[in-house]
Amino acid sequence: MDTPILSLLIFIPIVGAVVVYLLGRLRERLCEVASLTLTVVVLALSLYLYSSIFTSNQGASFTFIEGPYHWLGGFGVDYYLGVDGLSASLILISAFLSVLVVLGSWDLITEKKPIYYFLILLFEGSIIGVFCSLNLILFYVFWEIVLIPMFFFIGVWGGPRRKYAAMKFLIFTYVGSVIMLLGFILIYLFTAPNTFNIPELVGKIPFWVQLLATVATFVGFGVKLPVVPFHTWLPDAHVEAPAPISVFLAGLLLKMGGYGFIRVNLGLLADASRQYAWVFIIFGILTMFYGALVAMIQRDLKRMIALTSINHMGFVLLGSFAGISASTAQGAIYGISGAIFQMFNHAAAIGILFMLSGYIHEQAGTRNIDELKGLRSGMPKTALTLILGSLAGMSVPMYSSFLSEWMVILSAISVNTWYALAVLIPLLTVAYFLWMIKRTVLSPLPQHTHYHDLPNRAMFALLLYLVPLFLLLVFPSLILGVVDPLSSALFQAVGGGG
Amino acid sequence: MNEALPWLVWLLPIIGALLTPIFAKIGDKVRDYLAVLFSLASAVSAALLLLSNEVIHSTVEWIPSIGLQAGVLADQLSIIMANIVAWISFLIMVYSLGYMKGEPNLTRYWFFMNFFIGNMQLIVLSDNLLQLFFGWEGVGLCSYALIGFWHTDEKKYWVGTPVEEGGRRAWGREQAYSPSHAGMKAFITTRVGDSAFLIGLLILYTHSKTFSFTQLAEHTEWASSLASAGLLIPVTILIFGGAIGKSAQFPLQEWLPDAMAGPTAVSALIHAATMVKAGVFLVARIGPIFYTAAQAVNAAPLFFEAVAWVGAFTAFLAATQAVVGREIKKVLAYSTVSQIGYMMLALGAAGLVAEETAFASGFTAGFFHLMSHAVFKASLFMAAGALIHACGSKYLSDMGGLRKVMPITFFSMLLASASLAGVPPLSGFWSKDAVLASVLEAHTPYAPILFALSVATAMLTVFYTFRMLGLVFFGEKGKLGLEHKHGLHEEAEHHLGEAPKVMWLPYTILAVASLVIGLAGPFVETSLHNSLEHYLHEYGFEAAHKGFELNLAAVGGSLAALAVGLPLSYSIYIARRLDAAKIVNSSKLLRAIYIFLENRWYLNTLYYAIFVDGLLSFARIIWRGLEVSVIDRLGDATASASIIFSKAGNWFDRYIVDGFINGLAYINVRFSRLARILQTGVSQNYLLVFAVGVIVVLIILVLNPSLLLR
Repeated sequence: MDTPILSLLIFIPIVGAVVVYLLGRLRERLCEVASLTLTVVVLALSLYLYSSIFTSNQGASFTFIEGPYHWLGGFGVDYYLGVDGLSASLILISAFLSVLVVLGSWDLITEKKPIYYFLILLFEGSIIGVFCSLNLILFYVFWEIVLIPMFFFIGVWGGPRRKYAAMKFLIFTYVGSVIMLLGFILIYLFTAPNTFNIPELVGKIPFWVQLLATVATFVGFGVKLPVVPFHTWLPDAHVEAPAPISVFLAGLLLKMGGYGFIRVNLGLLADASRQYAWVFIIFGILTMFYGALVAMIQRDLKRMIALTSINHMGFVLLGSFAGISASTAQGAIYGISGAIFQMFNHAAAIGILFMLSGYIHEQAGTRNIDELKGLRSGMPKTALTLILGSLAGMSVPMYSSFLSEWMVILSAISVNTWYALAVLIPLLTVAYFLWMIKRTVLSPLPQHTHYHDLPNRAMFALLLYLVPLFLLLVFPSLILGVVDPLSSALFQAVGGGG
Repeated sequence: MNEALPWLVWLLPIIGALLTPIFAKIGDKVRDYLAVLFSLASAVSAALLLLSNEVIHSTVEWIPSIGLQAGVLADQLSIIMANIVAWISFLIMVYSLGYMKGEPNLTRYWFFMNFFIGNMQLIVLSDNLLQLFFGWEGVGLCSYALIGFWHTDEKKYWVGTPVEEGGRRAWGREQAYSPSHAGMKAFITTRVGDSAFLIGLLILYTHSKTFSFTQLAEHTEWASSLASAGLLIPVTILIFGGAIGKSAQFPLQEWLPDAMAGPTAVSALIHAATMVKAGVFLVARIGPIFYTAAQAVNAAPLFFEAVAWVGAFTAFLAATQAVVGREIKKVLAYSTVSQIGYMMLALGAAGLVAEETAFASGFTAGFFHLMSHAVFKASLFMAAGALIHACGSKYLSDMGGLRKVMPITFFSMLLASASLAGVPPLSGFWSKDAVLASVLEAHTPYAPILFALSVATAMLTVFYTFRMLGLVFFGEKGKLGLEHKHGLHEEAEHHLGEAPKVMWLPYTILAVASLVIGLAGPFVETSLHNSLEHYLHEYGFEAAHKGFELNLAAVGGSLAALAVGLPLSYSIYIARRLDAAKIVNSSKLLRAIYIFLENRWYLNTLYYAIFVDGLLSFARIIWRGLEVSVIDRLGDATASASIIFSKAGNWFDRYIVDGFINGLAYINVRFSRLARILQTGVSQNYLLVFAVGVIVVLIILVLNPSLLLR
């Protein structure tokens, strides 16, 4: 253990945030460039982290471990970090999105720049912290820190109803996380070694504790993911948040829920998860259907995209729990790896869509689907990007999101054939995306309407989101190579596959 | 080198598509010609495959962790199909040079045309179902993009007759659609089929652990595994659902007629010659596998029964609608749906035969009809495009008397139409005959009904084909022709005349090809039969080489159809001795039937009412009734509850805790430093935290006393 890479990943952005703020007070341009530099450095580090796990085939176990160092002695709160395939891939996508969000913010954020970039970096650092904490309380601490920048993002840079949205967001996620914390305390109290350290807890938690803790974490992670009916903060938060922040919200914040489900529920509460997987699966399918159905009738482009997120994240829930309750290792790999893969794909696909909604709002002055007309003629570059992005949202087989969705559905079918009905969800998704495109892109341009088109640089930055989606379609093993060992390890841990 | 050939066949057009935007930077001519060149290169690779005449199976790793490979399989079936697709595509690409001349946005056009060809070849050459599904979705995407090519939706590009131009409403719903609407309709309707297909193939995979055709054929344990779960028949039907969607069979046939909103070259390529055949190809690919698998578990051949019935019914349904078509392209579109029904019928009948060796004849019949239909229908569509260009109208009623003006088009359309109508000795005669023969061979009690349906369809086919021919080329010059004569219509004057060579050459070539194939009909059929039998042998079928034989009953049926349909159509539309409008208006019943047919049996309207309006209102009910009124309120209630809670806390704080402290302080003014310190600043909060902390620790200790002992 030479360089504490994980600590660097967490604290380069957090400490850098202060520097960026100070630089920003000198000259605003400076803080934009500095935060881009910092996020690129973090991306490089996380790529290194990822590739070393990929090449050494270490996805199943924790590596790059730091600690445990006692922090609040006596109560089992340690500073304890480590990554496996799941963490590494989520850290990678966090670093990747942070770069793109900073780039996108250059165009779209004009006010209070120093503090904005300060918060961006604080967010990045703390969310990486969430993804590599191996101590439940440390995890909780980072989890809560993430909320702070997000609250201010919505409340300060948000749209007209920002105060309502920010409060709603805070109350929902806060209540969720407190319930989650209760679950953690319960685990601590009733497990033979009283500890919050995840690796030491694996396989030690009594079944009834697992069951109670599952209820608690279901609320905690379910609010984040989100699971219907805990989702109602999401459309408001997304609609009010500025576009780059929506990317953070959908691309990363929701992933905390997925991460939590896989790390805690599948890893620690595995027996309960396996036994009651069907509850989660039903909630997953319900979430997907509900998200798709209500997305269909939205008039606000951004709200539609936000609800698409709910629709897509249901796959994560479905995949994880179908995987853990599968009867074969193959089924488990399809489900759990598919869920992680889906998180990755969703982050990229939803990212481009949210950024676009921001640009469209700026260029056309409205996000109302019925008022946006003739984009194909009025702003051809935007229209092209919107179509490419929507195809990613529809999971057409030219992007890797198709692969992850069918992996999840395949796993679900192997558990129970009736779960095959989940295939109907992409059908609804296609329907409402095409309808949106028909109304906005493929309509005649009203007279006397002049739109500004995307600047080339912005279009380039937007198309960057699609690069991983193309790449992973042709070379899915780039990510599956890291997460597959983890999936089969999780599966074997619950005694699956004999 | 040979290994690479099948890869080239599908990759070359895709590369060509991706390069199109770059070529466009060089110049428009360069872009157009290079696009055609790429499709030619692909066609040449396909021809080389045909010449080398060996089975090539080449694979590469795709997702190693779950043992998934990508691969191409060039065997007799896929090589023949690949050549049909490649060469017809190439001719249509050449035709496009003339047809699309002067249109804006041609980069997009060429991109999607080549991208389409590549994906279609991917379907044909895939060695596994999953990869096939990729191509399957790819062609769907191209179809969507090309139907909506004129996305600005000007009225002249609409399909169907708008109400203000005398169109009819069915249940208050206009039956005319804009290109972008038609594209969306096509994509979503076929997506319904695709979803069924995806469900089916995923369930299949969970039992077979493989997507590969050869593996599925070799290890048929999956069939018993599926059968014991009661899923064998559902799975096969679900997979057939994909074919139904793509090939526009009942009940998913409604998208194809409206897909005619696209440019005619697109209709020729995608919606007549190739993509809509993908469903037939799929059935041909998996049919033999299902047949052997079902035999292994003694399952009822319900799959083939379904295929045959869907085919026969669709053939009849669409043919009746073609009879009343007003637009030339729509007549051809209904006819395509109907003819594909024939192919499905033949493939279904193949699986219903009494003994295994007879499977090949139905199989060949379906495939033969696919081939001959691809040739003459592509020709008909391209000729129709030339007619629409010349007349500036899509309506049959605006045409008429054109045989003198456009002699070459007349000649090739005559050949191709006669082939469609099944006039001997054209290719359509032989292939339709083979289809009818295969129905007679089917070992099912319903065979006579199926046969009667297909003969009735043949009659209708003859009727509407010559109706179209008569309306276009015979009789008085149509509205536009007259205007032309009086110099009223300058645009028409400019156009009215034979199409340019780059346009008529492709469709004449195909029309002549249909004649040549017809003249060599028995020979073509026998050699096709033999090579497909060879292919089936690979899938474990016993081969019984047989010479060509004519099924007399089938020929009788087909000639009877001709004998009834042709004179009727001739006297109304060619000789114009009878007036169709008078006949229809003469009786209430005929009038009602006419409207019923024109409104597409009201199926289209029914689907809109249920799946569009119904779904949207359901979504709205969910949104208003659940999201806004219940779940959102729940959120707000949580918020108000927490406000009330914190107010209560505040009250508790101020009156109870504070009061307690104050009281304490009052009593212990002189003794208690603690109280005085707490009174300042944020005392209440500290105390509250402290109190809560004590309570938590107490709870912990009570619940888990062992902590004390450590």
